[in-house]
Amino acid sequence: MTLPPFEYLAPASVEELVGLLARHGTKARILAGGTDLINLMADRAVRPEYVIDLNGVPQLAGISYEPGKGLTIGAATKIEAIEKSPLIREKYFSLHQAAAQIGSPQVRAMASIGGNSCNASPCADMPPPLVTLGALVRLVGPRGRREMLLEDFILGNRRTALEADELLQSLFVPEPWPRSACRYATIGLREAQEIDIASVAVNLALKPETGEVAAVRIAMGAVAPVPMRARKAEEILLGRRPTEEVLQEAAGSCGAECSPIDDLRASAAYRRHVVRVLAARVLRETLSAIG
Amino acid sequence: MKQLIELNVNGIAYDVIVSPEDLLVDVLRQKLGLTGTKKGCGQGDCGTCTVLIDGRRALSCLTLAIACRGKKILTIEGMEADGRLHPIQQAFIDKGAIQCGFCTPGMVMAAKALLDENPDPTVEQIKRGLSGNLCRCTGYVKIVDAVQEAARQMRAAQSQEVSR
Amino acid sequence: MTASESNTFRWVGKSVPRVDAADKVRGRALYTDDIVLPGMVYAKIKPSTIAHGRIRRIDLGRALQLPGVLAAITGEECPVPFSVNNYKPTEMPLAKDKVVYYGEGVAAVAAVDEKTAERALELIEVEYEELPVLLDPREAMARDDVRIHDWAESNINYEGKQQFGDPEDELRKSHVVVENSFFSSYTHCGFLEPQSTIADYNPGTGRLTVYTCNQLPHYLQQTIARTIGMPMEKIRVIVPTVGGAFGGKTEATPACMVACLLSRKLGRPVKITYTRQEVFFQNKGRHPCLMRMKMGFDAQGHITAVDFDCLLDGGAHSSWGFVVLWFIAALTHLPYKIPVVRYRGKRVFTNKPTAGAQRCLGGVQVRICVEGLLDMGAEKLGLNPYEIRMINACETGYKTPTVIEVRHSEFKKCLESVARRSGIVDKYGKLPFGRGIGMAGGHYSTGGAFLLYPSYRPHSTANIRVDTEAGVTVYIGATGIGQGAHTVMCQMAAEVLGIDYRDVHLVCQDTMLAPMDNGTFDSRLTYGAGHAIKRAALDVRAKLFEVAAAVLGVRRDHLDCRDGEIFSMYEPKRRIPFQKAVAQYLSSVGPLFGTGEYTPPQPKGDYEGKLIGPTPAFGFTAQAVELEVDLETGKIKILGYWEAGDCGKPINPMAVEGQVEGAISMGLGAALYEEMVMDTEGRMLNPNFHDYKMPTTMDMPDLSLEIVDSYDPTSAFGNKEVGEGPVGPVIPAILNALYDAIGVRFTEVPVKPEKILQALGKIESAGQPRLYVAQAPSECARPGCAPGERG
Repeated sequence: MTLPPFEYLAPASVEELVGLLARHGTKARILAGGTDLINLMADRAVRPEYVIDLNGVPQLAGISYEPGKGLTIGAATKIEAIEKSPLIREKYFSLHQAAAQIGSPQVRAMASIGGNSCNASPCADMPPPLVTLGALVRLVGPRGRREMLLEDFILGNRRTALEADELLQSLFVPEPWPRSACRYATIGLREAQEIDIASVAVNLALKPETGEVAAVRIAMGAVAPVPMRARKAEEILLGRRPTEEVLQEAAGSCGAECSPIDDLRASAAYRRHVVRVLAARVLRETLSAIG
Repeated sequence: MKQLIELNVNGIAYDVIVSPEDLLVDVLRQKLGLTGTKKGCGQGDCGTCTVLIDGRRALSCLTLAIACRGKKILTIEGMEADGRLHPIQQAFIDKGAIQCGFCTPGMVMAAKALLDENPDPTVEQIKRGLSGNLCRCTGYVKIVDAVQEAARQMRAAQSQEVSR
Repeated sequence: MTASESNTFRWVGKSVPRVDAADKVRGRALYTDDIVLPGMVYAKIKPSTIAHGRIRRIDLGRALQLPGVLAAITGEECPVPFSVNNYKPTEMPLAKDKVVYYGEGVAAVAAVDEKTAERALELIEVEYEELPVLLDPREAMARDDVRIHDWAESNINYEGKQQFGDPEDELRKSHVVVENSFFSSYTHCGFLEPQSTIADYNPGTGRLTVYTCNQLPHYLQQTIARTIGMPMEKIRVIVPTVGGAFGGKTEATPACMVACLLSRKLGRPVKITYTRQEVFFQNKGRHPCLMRMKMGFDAQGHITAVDFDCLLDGGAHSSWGFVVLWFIAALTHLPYKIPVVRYRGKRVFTNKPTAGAQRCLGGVQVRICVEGLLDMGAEKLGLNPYEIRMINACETGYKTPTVIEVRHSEFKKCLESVARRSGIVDKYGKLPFGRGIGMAGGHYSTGGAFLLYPSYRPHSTANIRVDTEAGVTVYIGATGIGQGAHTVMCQMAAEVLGIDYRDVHLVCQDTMLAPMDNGTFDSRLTYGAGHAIKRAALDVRAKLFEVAAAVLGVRRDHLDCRDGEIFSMYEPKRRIPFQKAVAQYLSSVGPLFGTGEYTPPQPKGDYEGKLIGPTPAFGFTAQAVELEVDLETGKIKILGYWEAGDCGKPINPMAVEGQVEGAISMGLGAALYEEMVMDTEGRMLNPNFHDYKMPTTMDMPDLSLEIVDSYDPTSAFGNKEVGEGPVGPVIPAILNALYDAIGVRFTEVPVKPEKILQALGKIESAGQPRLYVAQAPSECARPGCAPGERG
């Protein structure tokens, strides 16, 4: 399929980009990796008059870490860069796992973390671990800058709080909790090029003296319209020693809390069940990583 | 609005007239006559359109041609040099990794990207590196063998170079 | 030629690099869509947006007014139905009066470029009157009020029965009887090259040249002639390099016909290439079958009888229709000895993309039943899966109750080999819960495939021309589809003529230049073409040897040839280079040609469907798989996979391995995750490669293969088939291993993880098996949902 016609704009700076968004707003779409947008255009699901290519704006890509503060990832940063970053592997391992999971080597080389977050597909891989890490999105537009939790940014199936004239500039991931680890797991039918049937991300910290859970966030993917926090499961874990029994209880709650659908990839019943299984496994893996 | 752009493909600068919506795979195949890059699905699922842009993997069916100005594109036609096949290409022939051949150009490009990053990959790493390229004919067995062989040949040639 | 003589072959039996590999790896091989002709324009087809309905109105007006649009047509242009076998054809170039599946073409435009053609499609207005959509063949059979094809008496496309002996009586007397219902799934061939056609009608000469990726150029030529109304001799079909076919490119696509019609209208070349979605809608993949089979055994474990009912879901059009129905019947009789068989088959129309012929056609369906029942019977008899198969395995000389005879078989060697290498006898029933091992056998026909129209003409003809201008050129209609046909044909010709296989030129897959060949299907090519080429080459050799003998001063029958030389076997110093002998022949005698042909033996006997299935030879295979089920997620991990095949003498062992590896990967996909899914309105939900899931590199287990020692004396070089048979055992081997692993006998595929968990009682069962129809139109039918789920 050929694409419907549009005008192509390639700004060289954030200011220029914002200016274009201000001018064209709802008639424009941002082009980052293209793996999503091009398909949407080919299907005629979207027909923007303007396509604004952000790949020429160097400030939008890059990974920088400030010890004690946190990690800033430019929205245009490629998934491949996130997968390969030694820093992210070391400090935010679940982000490495999520990036490694996406699509194929080609897709990882093209796709961006911003695209993955802004498309807000319920099956997207980056949002669940980002949500558990308390990630913030930093938006910029003609009215200035604002930031909010990614968790609040994603509103529904392919819906975000991004205004038509706004740009997702970067994501900020706070410094990990002390004595914590984060892990992510997914399940699909094939071992590559899969769209997840379900996924679970965990970020968990233990109290040094008692070994009780000091803090925990669990987010599930592909089993709700948004990356869904399993709040009841978190409450089950908080303040308790994470024995196998407690883990199973929390995992069970994950299954109960999510709201999966039946679709051609899997039934709701299977998703609910496998979320429980994944949650238990990811919790165990996270605990072992804390050591 | 059509534009005249310059595309650098396999080291040659081409002047092409493109509309913004033209996909790189179509421009390569139809405007530049470089039909080695294939179009198996047009949705980025099969990998037959894989090319390298500035050394990085790209699905040309999901890439706008106009976004490739100033970049160096490498397609299957650019893999051979002065009439000599690249070791990856030779290994594919020698190991019987080619049946219908439709996935082959994309596989070779993906293999090149892999070996450029990692000259000594394990079998698992090879499989992962090629996981974006579908093949319905071979079951991938001889393709993986070929990439292993190519890696061996390329490392041997490299150490010969170094020792010279 | 004996088996031991064959060990001295120079080329046959050698894993030489393929003759077309270099062009493919350089990106120089030309597939149909790569070809550009001067003056060429592009056509696109407008698909229907419903699965069943009458076309009330099509308005081409606005489309024709778009600048750059050269022509537009509807089904009225050519309301002639066609099919490969011309028996009760239903499919037309464009649907006329009604559409019968979602995505069926209803109009087409030709324009200066693809963009304009696509834009023009958007301007075509179509109004439909919707009719009830029939998706389940059982419902389609029962509904008299909804006729998918108006001319048909019912929605039953074809029915047939074959009976040899009295199965009810035999089963009554049997020591053990087992029975089960099975379902084979709705899979797609999955070739990576979308079908493409360039039709080039020359108004000056009145000749039509058609470039297209089709496995049967002869049938295509006939079909085009009949459909668009042109004499066959004015049509030339040229098949460029084919990017995979697997049976799905045996028929003319409607797009091909549309291209021909538009080209004739415009007098210039017209190209149509399907999008991936259109490839799925066009389908022509495997027939899903609802099957019921009963099998009886005597106290020693011999099969006494089989009673087999098969309901084939044909989809919307007749396609291969009755051929598949009878093929299933024929394949039931091997590779095990079954003295009494009754088969009843029905092929039914439904409002779904048409099912046609997919690699190992009919074999996959039969194997699911037979291999499952063998294990069930073995269990009751206290035998293991290897024993029951060895007891019943056919051997050389076995005559089935039909006209099918096994003139050569090493099937038992295959069974013995996989049993030994996999350790199944020691492991079966003894592995920990969740881990299991299973095996299955299989076979496939080769060399046969009777003509789809009444005629006794040769199935393969080879003409060889030898001169100093082009060396050795073999003209044969045979079509390469990636299986390695070109290479083995060169190897075979070179073997007889004693030259290098790379020095053989092939002119093939061109109906004007190459003599008629029955085509690439039913695994007939290497066997059939092999005989034709060998005879033609022997013809050339005999002529050449006469002259060489005179030049060398020896007797004709003292001569042999090898490595480009002709020499006396008794006085090796008397030798002459091949090319010199040729030059001498040309001056002394004249043009040097040879011709050879092959037709398989005509089967005797008199019963319905007898011409479909009997072939002069059969390939055999056995496979075993050891797997582990993740009892929490239901996912299957394959720990070991063993195969042993009897393909006679492999012409090119490396190519044989490649075929087996590919066949197994197709079987694995079908076993574990491949299926086309429709919603309740008949729309396909996954006409793409991200939701129609074929194995990737990371999904393939390690395979251990063996080509058993074998030589079929009825074959030109001892060779038999290998391209299709190995797909058959994959599904049942996995199903049998699953039974060993978790004690559940699955009888339908794909066995997705959730089915395993349902069987283990860990999640609620869906109740009535889903039968590849989603219960409600789902979100994923919405454009932009499925494709964008990443990046």
